[in-house]
Order: sequence, then C-alpha cells, then structure tokens
Amino acid sequence: MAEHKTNPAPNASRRVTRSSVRFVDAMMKAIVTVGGVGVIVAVTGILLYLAGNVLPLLTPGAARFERTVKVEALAAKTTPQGPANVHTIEGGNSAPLIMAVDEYRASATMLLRDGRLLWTTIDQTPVIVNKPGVEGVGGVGGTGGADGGKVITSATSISEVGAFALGFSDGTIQLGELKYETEFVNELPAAAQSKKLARGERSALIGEEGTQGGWGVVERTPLDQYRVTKPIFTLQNPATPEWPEPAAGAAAATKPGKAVVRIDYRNSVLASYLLLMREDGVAALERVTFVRPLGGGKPRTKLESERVAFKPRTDGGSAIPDWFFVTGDGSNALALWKDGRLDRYARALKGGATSNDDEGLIFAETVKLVESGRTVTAASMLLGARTLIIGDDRGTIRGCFASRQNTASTPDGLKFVVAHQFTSVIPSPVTAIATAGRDRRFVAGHEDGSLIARHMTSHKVLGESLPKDLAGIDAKARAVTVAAFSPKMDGLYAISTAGVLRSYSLDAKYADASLSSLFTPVWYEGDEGPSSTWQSSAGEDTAEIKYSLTPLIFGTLKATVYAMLFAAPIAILAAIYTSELLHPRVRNRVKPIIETMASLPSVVLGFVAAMIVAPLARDILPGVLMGFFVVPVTTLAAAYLWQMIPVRFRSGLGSGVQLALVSLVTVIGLSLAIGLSRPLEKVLFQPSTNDQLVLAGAVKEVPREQWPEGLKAFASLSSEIAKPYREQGFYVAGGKLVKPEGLVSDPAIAEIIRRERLDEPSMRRWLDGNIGTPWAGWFLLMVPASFILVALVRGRFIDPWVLRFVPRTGLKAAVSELTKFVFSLVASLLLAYVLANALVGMGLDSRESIFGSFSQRNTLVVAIVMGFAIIPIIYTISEDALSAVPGSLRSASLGCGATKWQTALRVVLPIAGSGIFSACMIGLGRAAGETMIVLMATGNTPTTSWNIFEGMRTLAANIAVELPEAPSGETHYRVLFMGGLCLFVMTFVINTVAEVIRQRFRKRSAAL
Amino acid sequence: MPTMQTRSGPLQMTTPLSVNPNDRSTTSGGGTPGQNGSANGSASATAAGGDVGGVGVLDKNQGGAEGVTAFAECIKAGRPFPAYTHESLLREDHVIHVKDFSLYYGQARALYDIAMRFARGKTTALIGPSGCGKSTLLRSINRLNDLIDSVRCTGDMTLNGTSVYAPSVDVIDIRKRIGMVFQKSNPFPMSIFENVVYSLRIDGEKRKGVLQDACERALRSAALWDEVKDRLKESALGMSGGQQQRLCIARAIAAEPEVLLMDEPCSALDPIATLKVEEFIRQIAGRITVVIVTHNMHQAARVSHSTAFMYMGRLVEYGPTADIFQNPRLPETEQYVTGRFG
Ligand SMILES: Nc1ncnc2c1ncn2[C@@H]1O[C@H](COP(=O)(O)OP(=O)(O)O)[C@@H](O)[C@H]1O
Ligand SMILES: [Mg+2]
Repeated sequence: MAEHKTNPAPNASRRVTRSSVRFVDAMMKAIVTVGGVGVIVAVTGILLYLAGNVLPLLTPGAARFERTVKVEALAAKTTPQGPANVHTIEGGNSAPLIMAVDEYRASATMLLRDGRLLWTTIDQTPVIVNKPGVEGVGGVGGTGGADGGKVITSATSISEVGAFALGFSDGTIQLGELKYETEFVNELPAAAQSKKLARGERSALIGEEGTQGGWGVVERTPLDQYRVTKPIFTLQNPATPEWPEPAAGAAAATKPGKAVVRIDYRNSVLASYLLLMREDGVAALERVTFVRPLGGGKPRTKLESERVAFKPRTDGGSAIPDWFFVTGDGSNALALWKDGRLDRYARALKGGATSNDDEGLIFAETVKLVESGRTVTAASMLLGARTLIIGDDRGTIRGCFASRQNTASTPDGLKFVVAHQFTSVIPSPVTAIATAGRDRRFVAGHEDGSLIARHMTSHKVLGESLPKDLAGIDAKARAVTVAAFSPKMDGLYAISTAGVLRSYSLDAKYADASLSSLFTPVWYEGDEGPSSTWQSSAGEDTAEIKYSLTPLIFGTLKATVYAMLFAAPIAILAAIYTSELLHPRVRNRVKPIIETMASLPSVVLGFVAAMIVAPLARDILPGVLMGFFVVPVTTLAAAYLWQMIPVRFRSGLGSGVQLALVSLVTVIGLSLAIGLSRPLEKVLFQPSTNDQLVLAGAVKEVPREQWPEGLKAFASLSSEIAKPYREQGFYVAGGKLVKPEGLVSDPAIAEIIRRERLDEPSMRRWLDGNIGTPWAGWFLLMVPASFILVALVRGRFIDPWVLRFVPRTGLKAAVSELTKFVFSLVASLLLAYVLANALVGMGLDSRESIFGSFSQRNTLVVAIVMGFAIIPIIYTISEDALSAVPGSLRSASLGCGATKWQTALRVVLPIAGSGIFSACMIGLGRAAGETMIVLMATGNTPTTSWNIFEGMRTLAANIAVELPEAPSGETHYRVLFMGGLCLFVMTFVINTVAEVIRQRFRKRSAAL
Repeated sequence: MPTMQTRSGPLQMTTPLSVNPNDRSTTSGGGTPGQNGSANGSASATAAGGDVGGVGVLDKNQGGAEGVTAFAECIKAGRPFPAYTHESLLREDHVIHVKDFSLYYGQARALYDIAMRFARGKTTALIGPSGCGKSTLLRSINRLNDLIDSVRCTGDMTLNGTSVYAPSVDVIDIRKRIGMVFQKSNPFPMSIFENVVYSLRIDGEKRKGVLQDACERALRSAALWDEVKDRLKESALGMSGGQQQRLCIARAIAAEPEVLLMDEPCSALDPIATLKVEEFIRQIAGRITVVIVTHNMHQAARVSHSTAFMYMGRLVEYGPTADIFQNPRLPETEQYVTGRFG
C-alpha cells in the first residue's frame, strides 16, 4: 500500500495484492455468507412452517358472546323444584322440551310443554311467534290437562337428525321431526315485500297464523339471491306400544298408571329404537319402522317390542329411574338415578352360559357413578349414544361407557365405567348437557348460568361463557335449562330459567386433538382402559377417531432400534476390519463397493424387502433366527481353529486369502444355520399330541363348573387368558374352554393332521401361540445372555487360573483356548436351559417379549433391509474416523508388541470413538426418517409391542400413507404435521445429543 | 539357519543391478551365494567376520582410481557397498545380526545389502544424512516396515540367533522383545499410568502390584518418576514435549525388552530434556542393547559405544565411536563427521 512508504524495509520488494484477487475474495465471502445464511433460514423456515401448521391444534377454542333474546313464554312461572332436563318433566317447569336452531343461526324453534311451538329470530329485535304444535295436548305435566286431553309426559330429541319422540299420559307415543328447510329464490318473498334488504341483511317472514310455511328468515346473499330458511315441524301418527307383562312385585313399588314417563329414541341408518318406561315401572324396547300406507298419506309408526326386564328400585330411592337411556345399537338400557346409581340392562352374549335370545335386555349390573353425597343433576348421551355424560351438583362432568373387561361377570362381558372426568373450577351444579350432532363435543350449562363446551376425547375446552354475558339476567334465574349447538356446531345456545336465550358463536378450532390426547393414553369408548391408539379413520361417522402419536413414535423407535441393532455392529466391525486388519490394497477395493450400496434407492430396497426378503424370511424363518446364533459361533470356532494352525503356514497367507477364508466361514455358518434349523425346530417347536388334537378340532367343551379356579372370574375367554392352563390340558377354541379329546391315531383325525401338516414342527404356529410352551422362546433369548455371562465369568476367574498351567502362546495355548470355548458354549447352553425353565416357572410368556405372533411383513425384515440401507453410511463415516487416527499411535502400539486387534481395540477405537458415534447417529437419523422401506416391508400396523415378528407404523410412513387422504387444514392433516414435527424434534434431539457427546469425546483426543 | 530370505522373488529379477565382476562382492558366511542380489557367484569369504563385509581390511579396489572412491562408484552404479567394519566390533557378542539386508519401497531401493551386528548391552549410533535409510533400518529390526503397503525386503536379521524374517516367526513375539522410541513423541490418549504399563496390559497382566512396580521402575529409569508420581491418573497429553518423549521411553522399556530402538529421540527436545535422555541411555547401557539414530554428532559421541555411518542406503563404515569420529578409515566418513559433506 502506498501510504506505507514512510517505513520501507530496505530490501523488501513491495508486494501488492491484485484488485482481481481482492474482488474474488470479497465475492466468495458474500456468496458463502448468503449460502450459509440461506441454509439456516431454510431450516428455520421448515421448522416454522411445521410449527405453524401444528400450533392451531394446540390453541383452545373460543365462544364469543353474541346477544340475548328475552322470550317471556320461557320464563319459569314457578321456581323450579330441581334441575331441569328434557327427560324429566317435573312440575311446572317452562323450559322447552325440544329446541332446534337453523344452519344459518338465524332463528330457533322450540316445542313447549303445552304442545305449542315457539319460533324466534335470534337477532337484536327478535320476532317471536307461538302457535299450536302437537294436537290434542291439553295441559302441562301432572295427571291430565284442564280440558281433559292427554299431556306430554316425556320427550327426547336427536339433534343430529332433527328427530324427536314424545310420550303421553295416555300411554301413547308420537314421533316427529323438527327440521329446517332452505331454499334460494330470485325474488323477495311476498311476506317481506315491504322491506328493502341490503346484502347480508336478514328479515323475518311471518305468514298467517297457523300456516306451516308462514315462518322463516330471508337473507339477501352476496350474489343478490334471497335465501329463505323455514322450520318444518312434522309429526307421525300417535302409536301405542306393546307393553310386556309387568314384572312381579313391580307394581308394589310404583304407582299404577299408563303414562309414558321416560322415553329415549335412537335413530340410525341400521335401526331405530325407542326405550320406554311406564309409570308403573314396565319398560319396553321398541324397534321402530315406518310404514307408508298404500295410497299415500302419513307414514305409520310400527313398533316391535322387546322385553326389558326392568326391576324398579326398592332401596328407598324413587322406583322409576330419573333418566332412562338406550345405547345407539339398542344393546343396552341404562337406568340412572339422581344419587348416581346406574342399572345396566344388556343383551346377553350369544351362546353365553346364561343367555337366551328371547329374553331381550336383562339386568347386567349396578354401578355407582358418583361419590355418595353427590347428586347427578343432568345426563345425556354423546354422539353415537355409547357414552353417557353425567353432570353432578358440584359441577363435575363424567363420561361413562360400558367397557370390555376380561374379568367382568356381566352377561355380556362388559363393565360400565367412568372413563372421563372433568372437574369444574366453579362448583356450580350442572343443569343442562347438550351434545353435538357431528362430533364428540358437548356443552354443559350450570346453575350459575355458565356454559362450557368440551370435547370428550381430547378433553379440550372449546368455548366458555363469561360472567359479563349474564349481565342482563336476574341473578336468581340464571340456571341453564336447555343448551344446544347449532347444526354446524359453530353456535352455542342456552336458555336460562329467566327465559333468556343467549347466543354464542363458537370457534372450536381443532376440537378432537390436544397435547394430552396426542401423547398420553386416552380411554377410548368401549376399551378396557386408557390406551394410545392411532386410528385416524373409522367406518361410521359416530366412531371415535383416535389420534395418539405415541404408537407412531414407538414404531419409529422400534424400526430404528432393530435396524441399528442389525446394522451398527456389522458396519462398525466392517470398518474396523477394513481399516485396521485388511491389507491396504484390498481395502481400497472393498470400500468403494460398500459405499455404492448407499446409492441404492430405498424404494428398490423396500421392493426387495417386500417381494423377496419377506417371503424368504417366512419360509426359512427358523434358519434366519438360527443364523443370529450359528454364524457368530462358527466364526469364533473358526478363529480358535485358525490359532491351531502353525504360524509357519498362517503367516504365509496374504490378507486376500484370509478374507476369502472368512467369507467361506460365513457361508459355512449360514448354511449350517439353514441346515440346523430343521432339527432345531423339531427340538423347540414340536407340537404336542394335545396341540395337534386341538388344531385338528378334536376337542370337547369344558363346562364352567370344571373350569380351573383362576379362569372362573372371566366372562369371556381368549387364548391369552387361558395360556397358563395349557399345561393342564385346557385350550381355548372359538371362545370356549376345551380339552382335547380323541387319538391322533384315529383315522379321521390323522387325516386332518396329515393334510394340515399339524404334526410337523412349526415356528410360526409356536409364535402365534398355537403350539408349545413359552420355554423355547426363553431358551433362545437366554442363549446370548448366558454366553456373555459365561464369558465374563471365564475372563475374570477361569482365564487367570488356566494361565498358570498353560503358556500364553503356541499350540498348547490354542488347544486350551478352543477347549475353553467349547466348554463355555456348553455351559451357556446349560445356563440358558436353567434360566428358561426358571422364567417359565415364573409364569412369564416369551411370546409377549420380542417374540410374538407372526406376520409376514415384520420388523425383522425391516431391520435387515433398512440395516442394509444404513450400513454404508455408518461404515463410511466410521472408516474415515478410524483412518484419521494418527499412524504414529498405531506404530507405537504395534511397536510395544500389541496385535492389530489389540491396537484397534485399545488405541484406535477410543480415539475414533467420537467419529464412530456420529456415524451411528447419522445412521440413526437416516433410519428414523426412512419411509419407503418401512412403508413397503411392514404391515403399517400402529402397534406398541416390541415383537420382532410383527410390523409397526412409523411417523414417516404414516405421513406418506395418510397425507394424501387428509383434507388440508383439518385436524387429521394437522396431526400428521404434528407427526412430522415430532420426527423433526426426534432427529434434532438425537443429533444434538450426538454432537454434545462427540464434542466431549473429541476434547479428550484433541491434543493428538 | 536361513541366513538370507527372499521376501519377494520376482523383484530380484526386476531390480536392475549392474554387477561389476571386479567389484568385491559382499559375502555371506555360510550363506547361499547367488541369492545375493550382487553376489554373482563370487562368494569370497573375508576374514573372521564371515558375513560382515569389508572387515578391517582395505581392499585395493576400494581405493579406486584417480581419486574416485569405490564407494562413489557403487553409488553411481547403483550397487551395494561392502561396508568397512572395524575389526574390534567383530569380537563382540552380538544380539542383532543383520545379514545382507535390502529393502525396497515399491521399486525404490532404500537399503542395500546391509550387513552388521549390534553388540549386546552396547549402544550403537546410526548416523548419516537425511534419507539415507537409518529409520528404515531401525524399523526393519522390529518389522514395523511390514505395515507399509509396498515394502519388500531380502536378506535376514537374527535376534539372539533366531531369524526375524523367517515365515514361521511370530512378529508380535519379536516386537515384544524390542522396544521402540519414535522421533515424534506419541503417547496414547490415556493416563500416564496406562501409557507406561501398556505393554504389560496387552500381555494380559492384571495384577495391580505388578503393574505399579513396572510403572515406577520404568518411570524412574526415564527420570520421570519425580515429576509425574502425583499425577499418574492424569492424561498423558497434558505433559510437556520433553516429558512426553520420556514417557514414551518409559513405555518402551516397561516390559524390559532386550533391545531398545530409538529414532532421533531428541530431535524435538530442548537441551535439558536432551541431556536427561542421554543420561538415561548411558544408565541402561549394559542392560539393554540400544540402537539410536541421531543427527547430532556430539550426541552420538557422548552416548554410543559404536557408530555406524550410512549413506544412500548403504552402510559405509561401522566402528567404535572413538575411531569413527577421530580416526575414520574411509574418506566419506571423514568428510561427514567433520561436516564437510552430507
Ligand atoms: N513409507 C515410505 N514409502 C516410500 N519411501 C520411503 C518411505 N519411508 C522412507 N522412504 C524413503 O526411503 C529412504 C530412506 O528413508 P528414511 O529411512 O526415513 O531415512 P532417514 O531416517 O535416514 O532420514 C528415503 O529416500 C525415503 O524417501
Ligand atoms: Mg529418519
């Protein structure tokens, strides 16, 4: 630089950096900076995108208060005696029996207790009309109308289909529909001609009093059409149910009469059911069909009755239950009292010991749903009508259903349980519960006027009312008597005792998934207990969707762990072999070959896995399994034999010959494994005579009295439960406990056995639990463990002792080593035998460990094939790490007289450890994210067992399978993104941990 | 006793060796003439040394004509050179006997028919300019050259009379009897203690007492005990350069080898550390046979009993240290030790 002239070095020729060099320097710096920042931005962007798609899942919903509408007719004339409910009509409560809101949330229609219909617009200036609805209804409640007509004594409605059912004091029932009809017209209807509507503006349409079509709301759409929404109220003809003879003693407990005091209605595509209870305690389940008379006219309601063996309560409570529900499939009737007692009546299991098809619903069990001292104040059935929601006087809500329980002594093997519980912050009694028509959400209204909408599965709060919403309502008359969702579930309505209708708009966001439901076990409807299940689609709309990511995370881990167990040892040992033991010339040829394996597309590997490896592994399954034992043993044995060859011959062989010999030994090992698999199968998996008889179907049923004690508690049997009793000759076939009967020599049986090859040993039948005892599996599992144990003991105690008599080198030493090896092999087999017997003695079944029922596309196949996908990565990086260890250390170690293997193990490996560790971690990351292989080579069943003979579903495969079917922006879609985020986080955590550990390692060897 | 082994047969054919019938061939006592790359059938035994070339006798031919020495001619012709070995050395009891040993890195020949003996319990210095094959010769003694891909060699060595290069030899066994210290200190990334007892550990020694004794003895010999006795469990990598090199020395002698090979052990050390190493070498003299490569003439003079001068893969002159430095027989040696060449 020119300025530096002041201080010239006498002899220095002035060196100038050319401007082009400076320019390139600056440019490269800029490009590298842009590139680096770009990568960081891209990764952060992906993370943010994932998070952005997932975040809405986790945000709670919100209910926004809109307005109140005062409906004088709904105001309680008298103070209500107790909480109101559509099912219980007590005294002069003025709450509507049925309430429906239209799709556009413009108006509400209600059926009142006096049979009249009330219609109101839900806006600032409500238009309220009231007109006769149900004909022939005289008065309200009590024994009869003032005009002598019948009285509505019970009512129920099904919000999802707009159907309802009414029970009358004269013992008749009537079905009907309260729906809305929407039509688009180009001209403003005549009834509203006087109005001039702006776009989006609404107006009530009032026709003449008494005409059905006269009411409605008209709205001018943005397309300048007029949308008219009208309530349609239709009634079937009244029908008289057939009542069974009252049960003996029932009349004594109940008051005589024929009024239908409890009614519940289920209406599904398959069948419709009505559950009825008469004042005198006679109950009936009616199967409903609609018969359209020839020649037109109103359809006739046809009822086919089935007995419900209802027993009125005699222990002091009211004889008649306060609520009476039928489940969606008509299989259960639930009688619920205010003190929380629930009597369940169920259809007995077909073929069960005590059942008889003609019996209808028989008593199944009594359960107590709330703690004593609490009172049930509201109850309703959730969508699908399997889950009962009850609210108590302290604001707690419970979700209950009949769950499958092995030990249930009920006729249908189910047990009614409280599976969900929601405790309220404000302990105000629950006065109304309403369920939604499209998903499993429900809303609870409390005595203090508060409303909380929740989702049963996810426990998410979807919306809550605020105290200020109640400002205009009399403080003593705030109790919610009726609550309702709008048909699209975007609105929430509550009527309070004061006759005020509150309207909320509901933005529930993604109701059916929450952090807890995604990651912690959920007690799904009907299940034995809380579980983590992934079932993102179901046959029916009413079925519970199960979004638990746990099985998918588990599946990812399972695939990864097994693949790593297979790949990591092979890859690392191969790397050590090539870098430390193999002649450099051979190494330079082997390494690229292994590396080209990395370039195999995973879809090809997946194809190979599914089409070749899976069927092959199935056919030679015992051989494959044997390979894991036989190959290492043969290799070891070969190594010991090798030692016995005089050095003179050994050292003359180049490493190429050695490599060939090792390959030969491996091939010998593999063929030995295949060859030995048959005898091994015979030893371990030979079916006993009993097994053969049972498989051939030669059995006789064991009557319940002769069941072993341990089984008597079970209502229904599965092979799982009965397995411990197989020793005693008990088997389960077709859900029954059986004992084999007959002789294998019987020609008929022998023929079956021969045809089905039942007498041949079969590992698959053993895995499926059909033959044999758990012993075989334990033995196989214990062999490696015992071998390690024996080797440890040998190294610690035997070896030093032997060294006193035998020299360290030479033929004698080699012979002693081989002898020791053979002895430890025998010792470990014996130890495994003993351990396996001990484990069987403890009643543990090896088929619930890494063994289990067999499916062709299983984890073993995935482990092997995915192992092949990650071996090259682990190998290459490990090899590089090993090669990077300074040769001077190798020389030092070898110079001390260490063998190559000692050098590798004691000096090279500890230094290269960090590199090998990162290699494994990178392999792990690859395995965790691998999609095609798992997709093609497993059944993609989202299970959570370590069974190596079963498939799994990984997060990545799950996304690949389901994303195309998940509607964009819906819960399912976002849950899949959540899965992606989990995968991202998992790999991120793995890599971070790996990096931290690696840095630690590296510090240790940094000074080299 | 196989005195000469052909490690790689074909190479002998491919190595171009111009053989001058006039030239005194190297001889191999009881050896097999003809196998020797340069023998060409003229196996004329000389003096008592038998297989040691140029024993104390200055051949007329060696003088050369018109000022061109025989050595220079050998170099020019790419031929081995029969070294001039002082007679006094031949009488000594030897541990290592190098017999016409040649070594090739691929096609390049690094050692030319080296024939010499290392006396028991004595220290021998190998001197010579860089690249003359000193390290190669040293590494050949414990067969560390085997690790290098392209190495082949002919000839043989014996250790206490048993061949080092015979096929039936267990290399590991040989190396267990020979310790080695390298030019650059190379402690393992382990504790000081583990470094020192490494040789014992690989032999399967597990008794704590034995290990501790060996460790202390070796560290004391290497004059390191006092400095590190309190931090035996610390990493060896935290030591200073001089300490690390002495640790490597301790490691090399912990298993009490018969021979200690040292390849420029002091080249990276400061003068004080160098003094300590030299002191160590003087102390073990008599117990362990030491072969030390050094560039430092003074060091060679201070520590060694005999000195061998090598040049371009040939052993030139081998004699008692005093003679080599004060009374060299060959002009090349004289030029080198007086600093006029090399
Ligand atoms: N690993 C090797 N591969 C090829 N040539 C080598 C190798 N090591 C040394 N050489 C060559 O062998 C000759 C002798 O080297 P070396 O024994 O290291 O010399 P010195 O130790 O006397 O300086 C040199 O010419 C050198 O280039
Ligand atoms: Mg050197």
